[in-house]
Amino acid sequence: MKRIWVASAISLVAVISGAIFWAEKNFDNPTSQTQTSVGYWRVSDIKKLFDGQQKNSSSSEIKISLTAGVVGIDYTVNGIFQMFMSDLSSFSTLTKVGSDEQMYFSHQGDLFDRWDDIYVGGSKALIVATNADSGKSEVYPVVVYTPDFDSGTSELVFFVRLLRDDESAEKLINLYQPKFPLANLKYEESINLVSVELWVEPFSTDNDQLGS
Amino acid sequence: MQSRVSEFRIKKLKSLVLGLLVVLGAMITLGSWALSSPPGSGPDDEYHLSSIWCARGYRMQFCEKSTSIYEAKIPLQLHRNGGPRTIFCYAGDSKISASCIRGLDAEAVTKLESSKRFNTSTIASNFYKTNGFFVSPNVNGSILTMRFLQILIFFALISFAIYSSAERKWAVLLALFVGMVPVGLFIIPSTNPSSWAIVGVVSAGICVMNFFISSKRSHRVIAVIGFLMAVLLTRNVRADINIMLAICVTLGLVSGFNIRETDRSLKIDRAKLLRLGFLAAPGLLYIHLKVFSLYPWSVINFILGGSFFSFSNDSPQAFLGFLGGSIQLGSADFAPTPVVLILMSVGFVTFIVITARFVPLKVKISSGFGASLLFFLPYWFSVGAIGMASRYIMAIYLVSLATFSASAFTSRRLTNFKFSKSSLLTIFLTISLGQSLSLHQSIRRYVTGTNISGWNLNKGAQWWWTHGPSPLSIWMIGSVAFSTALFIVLLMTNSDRAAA
Repeated sequence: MKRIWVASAISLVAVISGAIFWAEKNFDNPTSQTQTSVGYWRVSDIKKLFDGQQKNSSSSEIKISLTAGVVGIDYTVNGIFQMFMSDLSSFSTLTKVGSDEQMYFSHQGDLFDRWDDIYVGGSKALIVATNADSGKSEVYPVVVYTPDFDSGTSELVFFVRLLRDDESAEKLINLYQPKFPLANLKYEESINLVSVELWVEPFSTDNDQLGS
Repeated sequence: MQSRVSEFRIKKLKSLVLGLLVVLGAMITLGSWALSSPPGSGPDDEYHLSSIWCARGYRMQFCEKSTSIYEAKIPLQLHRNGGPRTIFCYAGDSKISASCIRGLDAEAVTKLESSKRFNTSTIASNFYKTNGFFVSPNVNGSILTMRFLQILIFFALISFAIYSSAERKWAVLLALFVGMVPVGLFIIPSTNPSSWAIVGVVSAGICVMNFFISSKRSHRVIAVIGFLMAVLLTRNVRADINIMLAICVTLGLVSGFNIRETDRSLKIDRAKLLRLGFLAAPGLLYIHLKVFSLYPWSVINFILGGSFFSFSNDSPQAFLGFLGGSIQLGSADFAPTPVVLILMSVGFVTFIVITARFVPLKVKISSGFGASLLFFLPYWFSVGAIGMASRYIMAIYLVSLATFSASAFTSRRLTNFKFSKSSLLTIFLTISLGQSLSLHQSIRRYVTGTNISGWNLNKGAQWWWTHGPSPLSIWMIGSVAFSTALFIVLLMTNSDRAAA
């Protein structure tokens, strides 16, 4: 009697294991290729998000892009512009350099408070937009810094300056490969842009300023 | 003498190993149910999840201050009225799968919107706060963690009830196995406070029964600890929790007294009953004055004044829900296939019939009182426009079954009676098949929608968890685990008796 029980149990385990093996082999998970939208929002989350996936790499770089419906860029003084972004989306898209892996980073987090800590001296960026006056789509290489975000109205203000002679946007252009021609902001002039994307230079997740 | 000692040890070891197998089987079963449905599929989940997200106060991106003091900002994906941009996008139409969850855009997971639908009272605040520890930016991951937390809490509490049941543990387990399919198996691993309410009230009721039956000190101590833990856990977990607790503790108390009397083969002392009656009188007076007028004409008026439809429809619906016969699972838009109702009814009736002959009349009366409440309370709730679902009264159902089964065990012991193999086989086949088919239908509802049929859940699946075993594997694992555990429980229920 005991032998029958043991034989039955072993047979059951064998049959179930075989069936599970077959089921796993023939299952095409519809969700496996789906990028799960995860609303990360603290700068310290970036480390968890990307470092955890790249343990063998000595460094990993993240690029950030923002979108806004309307942008006004006004010249102030001393070569400094003020960029006023309105109709801003509620998130930035973070992409791992060299891959299509994307995550969404809420604007209501501390990204803009920590911006100048992460990008010391400002960050190189490309403003890709359509000029509201000329109707032309153009790419403006700039340096953006000291953002001021108003979560209530989804508006964002950056200070902007042109690249200095010793600075180059070549690396950034190679990385993002914009399809539109390059253009430059002009001192003492204001411009209005629509359908704006701000592509920011990558930063390393090894940056101590991200926290842990 | 030596051989008797070693025989006793072997028996003890066998019981321990089989007990561990039952625990493992039950854990795997509940784990399979936790994975069988997508996040947000529990009843009223948009309210409960918002409450969990706001339970630990205002926290950036989880729950933020709104302009109105009656509202709070919560993630758009947890909004009731967020339509397709929420994790509830599939709810209400059982013919569509949960694939829309995959399409949630960045705005849905990063934007916060004002909502009034979250808990601001003390009701269930402990449940929400405890689960609030597991809130993270990854909503899917958080909800899954919370579901497994509920399973752990279930096992932690129910273990007090089972341990203090001593030699009646297999009988109590059998009652729980029969009673939990399918509603209990869905609700326990969910983010609904009824999870705690059911396990807490059931544990309290069984512990009270065990306290009065058991003569062993350790069992009585465990029963007291279990009772206190259960009361603490369930405190305020639902608006009706005190009523449920009072009913189930009364059922446990009455059964405990009666089973003890049966165990001692003593006649009930009428003087003792009279004293108990005097003790109960102030309680009845309180109910009379505060809760409900017990004048006969008031009772008749209440019944006749209510809706006949409620009595003939809502009450039976709530009971049928226990057996998988009405819409009580998941996003409340589907019921298990009718064959589940047939199987569960046969299994339930067989269980009642084979145990009833050994249940003392007084326990029959107390369990009958519990059973009558299963019909009366839904009617009362419906008339009072509170709404009714099987999970609200599930604890009464389970405690009634447990006291019934435990008392039958004690009486069987006196007559040294074994259940027939055919009746045990009937219970095994019907309940395990009922569980398997309801799990299958629950997974089917979300991977493809119910308009697609077929045994192979992997075929044409449109939604599943990102990682882990496939839907078909989860169904097979859950079915085998439950059947194995039930088989052991049935085996031990009978073999324990034969050895006594």
